[in-house]
Amino acid sequence: MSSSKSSTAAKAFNAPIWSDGNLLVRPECRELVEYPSPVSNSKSPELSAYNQAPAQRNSITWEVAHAKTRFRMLRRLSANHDNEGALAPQQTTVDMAIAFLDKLNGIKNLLATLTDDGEAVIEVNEPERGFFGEFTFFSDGRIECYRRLRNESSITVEGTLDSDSIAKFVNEEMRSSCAQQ
Amino acid sequence: MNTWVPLNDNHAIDNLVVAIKFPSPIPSLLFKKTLALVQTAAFDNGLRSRHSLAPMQMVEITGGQASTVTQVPQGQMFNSVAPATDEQPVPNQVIEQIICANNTISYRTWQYVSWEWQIKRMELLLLPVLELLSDTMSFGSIRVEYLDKFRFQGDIMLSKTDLLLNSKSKWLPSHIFERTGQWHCHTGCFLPTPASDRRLLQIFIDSVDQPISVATDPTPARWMNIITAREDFWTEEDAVSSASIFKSTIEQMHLELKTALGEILADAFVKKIYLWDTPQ
Repeated sequence: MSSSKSSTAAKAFNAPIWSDGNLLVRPECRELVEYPSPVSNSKSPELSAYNQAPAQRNSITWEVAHAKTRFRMLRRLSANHDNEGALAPQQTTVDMAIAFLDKLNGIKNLLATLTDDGEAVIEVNEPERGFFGEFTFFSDGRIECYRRLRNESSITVEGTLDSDSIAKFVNEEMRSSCAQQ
Repeated sequence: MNTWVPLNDNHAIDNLVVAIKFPSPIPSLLFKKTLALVQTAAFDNGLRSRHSLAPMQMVEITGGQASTVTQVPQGQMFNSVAPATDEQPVPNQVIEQIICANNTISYRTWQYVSWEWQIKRMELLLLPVLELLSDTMSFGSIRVEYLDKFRFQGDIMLSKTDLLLNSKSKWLPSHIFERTGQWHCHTGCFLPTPASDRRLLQIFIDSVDQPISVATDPTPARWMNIITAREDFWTEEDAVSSASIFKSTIEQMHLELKTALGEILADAFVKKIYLWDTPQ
């Protein structure tokens, strides 16, 4: 097949696709330029940006990824999963917790769990230094944060996923405390 | 070892994109209102890193003559960024993004939670602006696109495509199951529809060798990147403009894309990523 024919065929098929697709991938292209794709000469060069996507995922810690995985497993539990009458997981709260976990990136000793009422909970527990933190997620969108540290008074804060109060709590009470160890 | 693994422990989604394109640019006054509304929604919902879209230069060749056309796309991009770990100099992980250009609005997430969650996020982030535009602008197209990624654990030369992909799938050519090198397989079609609109399904699979992790593990690995996309196009005659069809349209596309992915993957991986028995 001659190159002009190939080009025409590609244009005919791709016209409604890549004219739209260009705009969608451009921001990603900017961020990921290190690894040329083996298909960069294909009819769809935009795909090379997608193929480089693993580079993006490096900054999420194993702890965060593991907690997300555990929440996805917990999400599938049925009622009375503990044989002690626990309610089924409230899926909205589990989803909130999964979305929230990226904000805890870099914090260690994360545990994903559920209350008896099925609400998602993220715990940060370091008993050797008397540190305990907890985030409880409620179906109305509230997040309740609690922190206890040896020789200091306990702190409780309430907010929503993107509220400043929660961001401040994470940075000042959780991240700073963890950095002191 | 010598097995494929999804990108995440129990799902393979790297990112999800939903894009709405308008057949003509949004008028300038309305576009200002649009940007203001998008910004409010983005800031209220944690997408607080704002950037202007960079100018783009294009060269057009018509009848053998080249002419340079500079396009300056109006618009803004809003990102939410995950906090940096101690090892990182600066945060660089974009987890959610809205792009608002004068003829396109798109949402992308690298932090896929569940379909129910993503629908809620899109309602929060996109519906206000779609409602604003629905009196004036019609939809040119709506597109939903997933990128799923799988990595081969083991010697690249021992990677076997049929462990991951269904060799009997109608979407896959037979030669890919005989190759040990890299390949790509891009296919698509317009699905039958009674109306004059067009329904596009695309499946792009790339078998590529890339580092396990650019930052932490440069060991090359064989990756299978699978893009599944559905896009509806409307002509001016049958244009739709109601924001209310947005949700039902992408819900339907999501289901069709799950079906398409299920037809591509081997049964073991359909189960491994919980394609059907959990909300994804």
